[in-house]
Amino acid sequence: MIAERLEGDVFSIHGTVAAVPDAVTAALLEIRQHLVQDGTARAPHWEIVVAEVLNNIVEHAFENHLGGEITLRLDFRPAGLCASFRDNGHAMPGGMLPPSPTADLDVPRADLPEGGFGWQLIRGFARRIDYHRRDGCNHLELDIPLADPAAGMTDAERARRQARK
Amino acid sequence: MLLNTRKEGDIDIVRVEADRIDAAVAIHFKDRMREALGGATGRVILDLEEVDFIDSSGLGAIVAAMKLMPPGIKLELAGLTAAVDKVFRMTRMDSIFVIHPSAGTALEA
Repeated sequence: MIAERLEGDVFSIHGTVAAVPDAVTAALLEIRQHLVQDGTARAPHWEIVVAEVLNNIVEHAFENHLGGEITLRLDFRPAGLCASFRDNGHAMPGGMLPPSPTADLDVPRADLPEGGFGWQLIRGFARRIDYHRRDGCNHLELDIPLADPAAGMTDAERARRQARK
Repeated sequence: MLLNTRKEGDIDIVRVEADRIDAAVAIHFKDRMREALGGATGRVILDLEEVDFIDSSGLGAIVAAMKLMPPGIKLELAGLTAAVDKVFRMTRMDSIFVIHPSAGTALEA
């Protein structure tokens, strides 16, 4: 993966990831490393959105076993992340983003959902999601606001962070 | 993935000694939790202080672990870092667990 500073205060990370879970983890760690080296503090939820998108592509577009490659580009700006992903796996069913109905949590313990959280997280953190199928490839683009790096921190974590300084 | 289990009185504390619970390790984590919760009869606190990243698969594995608890006893979580806390809140799964700032405060609760 390549990381570079571009004009307009953009820190851009781009490259390809093999469509298997271990490669997704390795890619996320590499992206983290680039961000650490860049030195700008970022709200941590960029990683959840990027992870869920990559997991979904591995699991659904490539059915966990077809093999394949995902091309990604992450443009980090002070206000947020513009992330784009391309893969040549299966199209989204119906050519549309899947629905993510809010799960009913007021149910007996045994009936609590153990999945279906992925799109809920992506939709929750992204401001804009654009999907289209073109030339046999899936193209997904998202805007994720990351304005305040401390916004999502718990009090305990803010204290730990403060103590490290 | 290493789970470190200790007992404080009647309370089991299971500490996750890994910085991620993600799609690559979720099944393994679920198996280890099954072993760790096998003999649970009372309160169990899952200490997540070292975990700085969890994805939907990891969250699903923790919900699955909750279902292994004896009837009427909730799995308690402690030490959620920012990214982990956000995932629980965004999916509203924070409402089905008892969540403590740390394992230490959980023991006093």
